[in-house]
Amino acid sequence: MAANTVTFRGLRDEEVYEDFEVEKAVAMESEVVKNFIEKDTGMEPLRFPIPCRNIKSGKVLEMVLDYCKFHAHARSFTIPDDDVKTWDNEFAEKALSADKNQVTFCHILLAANFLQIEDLFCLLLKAGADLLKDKSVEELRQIFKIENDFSEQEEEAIVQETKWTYA
Amino acid sequence: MGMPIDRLSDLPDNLLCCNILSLLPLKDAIRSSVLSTRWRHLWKHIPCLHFSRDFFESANHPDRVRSECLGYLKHTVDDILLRHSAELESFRIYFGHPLSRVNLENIAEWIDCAAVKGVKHLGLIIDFTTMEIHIPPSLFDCHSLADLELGGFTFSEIPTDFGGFLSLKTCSFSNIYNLTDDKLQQLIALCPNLQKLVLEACFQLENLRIRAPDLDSLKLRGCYSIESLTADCPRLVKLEVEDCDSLFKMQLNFCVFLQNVTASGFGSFGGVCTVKFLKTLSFMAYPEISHPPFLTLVGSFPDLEELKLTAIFFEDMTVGKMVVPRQDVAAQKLLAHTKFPNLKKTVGDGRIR
Repeated sequence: MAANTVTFRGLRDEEVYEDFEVEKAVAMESEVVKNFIEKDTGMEPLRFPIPCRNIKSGKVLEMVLDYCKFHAHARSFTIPDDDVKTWDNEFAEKALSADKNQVTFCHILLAANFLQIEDLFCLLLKAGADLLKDKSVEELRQIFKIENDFSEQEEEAIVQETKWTYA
Repeated sequence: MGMPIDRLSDLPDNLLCCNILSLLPLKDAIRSSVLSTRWRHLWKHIPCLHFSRDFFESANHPDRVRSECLGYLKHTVDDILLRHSAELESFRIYFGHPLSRVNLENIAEWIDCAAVKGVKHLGLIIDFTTMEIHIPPSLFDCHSLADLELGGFTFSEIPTDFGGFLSLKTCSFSNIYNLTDDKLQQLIALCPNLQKLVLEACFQLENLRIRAPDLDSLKLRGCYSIESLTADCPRLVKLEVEDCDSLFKMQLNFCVFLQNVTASGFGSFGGVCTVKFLKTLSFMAYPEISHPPFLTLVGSFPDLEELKLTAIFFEDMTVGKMVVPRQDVAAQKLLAHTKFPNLKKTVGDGRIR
């Protein structure tokens, strides 16, 4: 492995894995990696691939690293904020529509949390919140496949409790 | 490896509630409790409760008041605070107009509740009121306060056993009645870590003396009765004084880091400032500004790099690093007489005079 790259290993299980090699600058978008590299005493940083046990699929890791690549690039080439924002919004859209149940979205969110990529984490949180905003209860249940496991009386009681929110 | 995540609902609690739900307006967050048993109690752990202007307007709507009661707002806030079960990082509530007194009855208890929950950011804004609403003593029990914003209250006494807001970093007082120089001084002395202070429309302040070792930003706005300002703030970096028409004396002691002063609406300014390293100074100069005192003021900044004078009645002319009112002859004279070694200036048609 070259001295300027870092490899992330997405572990499906102990046998099956997928490696992604990126430039060091890209990997440093992750606070976890950044701390690790900075604490290193100048020896070849990260000779071994970083095991990402919590990141279940290669696709998720790939998307996360795409984000990191763009942002590392944007930083060094000072791409205007508006363009970065547009890219970010498109990325969030892609993450949300990657599959029907927002599973990929959730996994990317968790990966951003695990690798401590603050900007990605906040971006997705906001995207998630925007999805939930101003929707009726029925719409929310449909979009997020939430099963209503309340009895009729229970549901009625909760609606009563929170009736001010239905103004 | 953790539970499988099949959908949004499967995210861990702290991600769902502390993060996502807390980004929603309070209304939407609380409504989520009816989605399913999983979501029932999640909202109760969000770290911030913000009762915004929208909430006030809907709770105070005449239709609602007619069908429910005058104190509907109070009951709703009571209810939510009662059910909320976690620590509270941020509590903000806005009261608009018209406001019936009954809705303010439980403010002291609300603050008490927030204090117990370890509130760090507290905002209580009362807009447009002629009522005298005293700051509840329970405010002084909020020991973990890092950020305080109060508007429209009447300041009473600081309790004698008050140990101070030791973590308070930012403080903003707007339209606070009965806030005298002494009381403000006393309060600031008890907040040793204060970094940012904003005072707006506090009409009982006259001779303001601010002694705050950590203060880096001070803003005074619309405090019409302030006549003098003395700041002993060794870390002050930014000072903004706007619409303080009676201010005639400003003394900034030991402010070696002060870089940025923005001032507007001065009456006759005759102050002395001892600030060595000031780099940018902006004044909204009205045509009547009396120049000798102004020259004295401006002359005490040998390191000045940028001087901006803006006269609202004239068309501004931007010349290099200086903005000069084109028709303000007096301002032109000022520039001709001042000597700033670091000030890059060209005047008029580009030639240095």
